[in-house]
Amino acid sequence: MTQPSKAYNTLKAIFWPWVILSVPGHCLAAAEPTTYESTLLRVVETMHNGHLDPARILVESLLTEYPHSRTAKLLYADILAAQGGRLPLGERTSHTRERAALDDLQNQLRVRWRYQSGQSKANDNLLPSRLLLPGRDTHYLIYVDLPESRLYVYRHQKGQLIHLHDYYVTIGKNGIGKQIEGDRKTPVGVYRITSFIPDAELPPRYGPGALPIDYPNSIDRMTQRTGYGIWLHGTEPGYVNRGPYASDGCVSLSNQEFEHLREITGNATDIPVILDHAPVWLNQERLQKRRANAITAVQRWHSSWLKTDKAGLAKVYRAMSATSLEEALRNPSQDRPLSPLTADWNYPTIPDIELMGYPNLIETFLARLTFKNAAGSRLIINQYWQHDERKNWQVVAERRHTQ
Amino acid sequence: MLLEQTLDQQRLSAELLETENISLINRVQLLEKQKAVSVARANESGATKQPLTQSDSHSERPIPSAEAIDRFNHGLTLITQGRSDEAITVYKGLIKAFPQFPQPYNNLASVFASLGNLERAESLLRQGLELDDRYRLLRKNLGSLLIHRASRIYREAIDGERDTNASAKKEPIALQAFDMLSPLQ
Repeated sequence: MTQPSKAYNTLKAIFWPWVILSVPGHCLAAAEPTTYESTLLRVVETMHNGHLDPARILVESLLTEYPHSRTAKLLYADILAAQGGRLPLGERTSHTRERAALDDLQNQLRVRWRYQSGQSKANDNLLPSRLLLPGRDTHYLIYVDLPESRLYVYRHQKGQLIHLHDYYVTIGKNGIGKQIEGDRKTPVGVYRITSFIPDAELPPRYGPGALPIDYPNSIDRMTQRTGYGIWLHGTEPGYVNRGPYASDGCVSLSNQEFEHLREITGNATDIPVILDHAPVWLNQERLQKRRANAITAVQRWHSSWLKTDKAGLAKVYRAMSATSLEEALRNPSQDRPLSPLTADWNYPTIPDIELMGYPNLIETFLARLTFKNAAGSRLIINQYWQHDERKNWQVVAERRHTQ
Repeated sequence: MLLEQTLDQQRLSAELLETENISLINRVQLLEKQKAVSVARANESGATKQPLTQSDSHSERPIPSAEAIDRFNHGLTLITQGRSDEAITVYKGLIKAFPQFPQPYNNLASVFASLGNLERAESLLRQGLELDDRYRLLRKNLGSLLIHRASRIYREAIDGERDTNASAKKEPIALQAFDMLSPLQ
């Protein structure tokens, strides 16, 4: 029974072609701590190598620890069927719901495999191109690679970003790019966690808690995006994880990993969450260049603003409609913070700056300027900067609020 | 006739039955293989094992007593009559008395499987196959058990709900038992 059967070889050919295309060998290194995911993938690898008995022992131990793991059950069923001389079950099913459930499980494994075998990200020396400059008071950043169903947690330490951990996540049933309420898509953009909702205040399907984010943000509202209640949360009972596309738009982690994320970030809630539909990974040098470029633009704005240089400001705000700009310049109490800083201004003149590349918009970044006064209250200005036709940075939208 | 030979025949016929379009060559190979196994086993058992009962003076192989064959067949009768508990006692006794023969393991496994104790059935089949892994009936039965379990776990993977460890332990399945042995002479 230790030899792979003929059925198993067929299984390899039709069921796990993605494994064959990408045998990692070195990738599932033993040095990494054992996790649910690493064990799951070791089962796949062991199966692929034809060692059905060891694979079976491994998956049985995994199921003892995670009795709700449907992916582990699927692998277990495949191992047993192969040992019994059968092809994988359900492969030729025409039952729609069964097909969907099977695809869900297989896609989850595929996504995890792709990540662990290093195909979806080259290495740890690269950073997401969106993470231009974390604010001084930003201690953690959450970056979600939506197409690869992966959530990364970074710690910010004096300008350095340290990759702490990452997790498999489930996103919206209908994919990426939320537009309207109920479309069951996960939004794309730069958000922030607004609070924490504990287990006790939630229905069971959210798992051990939820971290709401501020969708729709001002750019979403400007582009008429609707909906609400986009959260990071755990997983419903009966699952360890759902498939990659299964939520109503939220980003969900396994319960264990959600708690792990909470442990890492502690009670910090003012955490940027970047939901990216098209991740680009850059080395330090190239990221530095982008950062410098964006900082220059913001600095130019800041000096014009301090000097009440209307001509300079007009250049920066050219993309905004002339009338609204004119009005704003005339009347500083308007929504747009074009008011010159005056002596009785309650806030200091130098803001803390956070810059994030904005996904889903062409060459856009979000500058979040925080002016914090001695009393602890904060003025926050969010500026959306975009390249004009001559590649000059322009503010296309601006919102401010106080906290 | 020796139990060994009876069993070898049994195995051969089972293999023939299970193999479609068996060619003459395969058949010859099968016979040769079988002969080699018999010889090998005879050499091995001659040194270490006691004759089962009253032996032909010229044979070193373990041979069945008429009593052993009777007990085996009695077990089968009990199975067909649905007297599982008694059949279990009979086959357990046989295994204890003649632990080197895989057939009682198989039949005992089939009783446990019919009672829904699939774990026990599986372990018995594995024990039987450890004695000789070329018994097609044992392999086939083990295959049936594995596939049965695979489909149950597959359903759980697709539909969720049940817990792998706790569920459906009492689901009986039918395995094929070895037939009556004919004690010649």
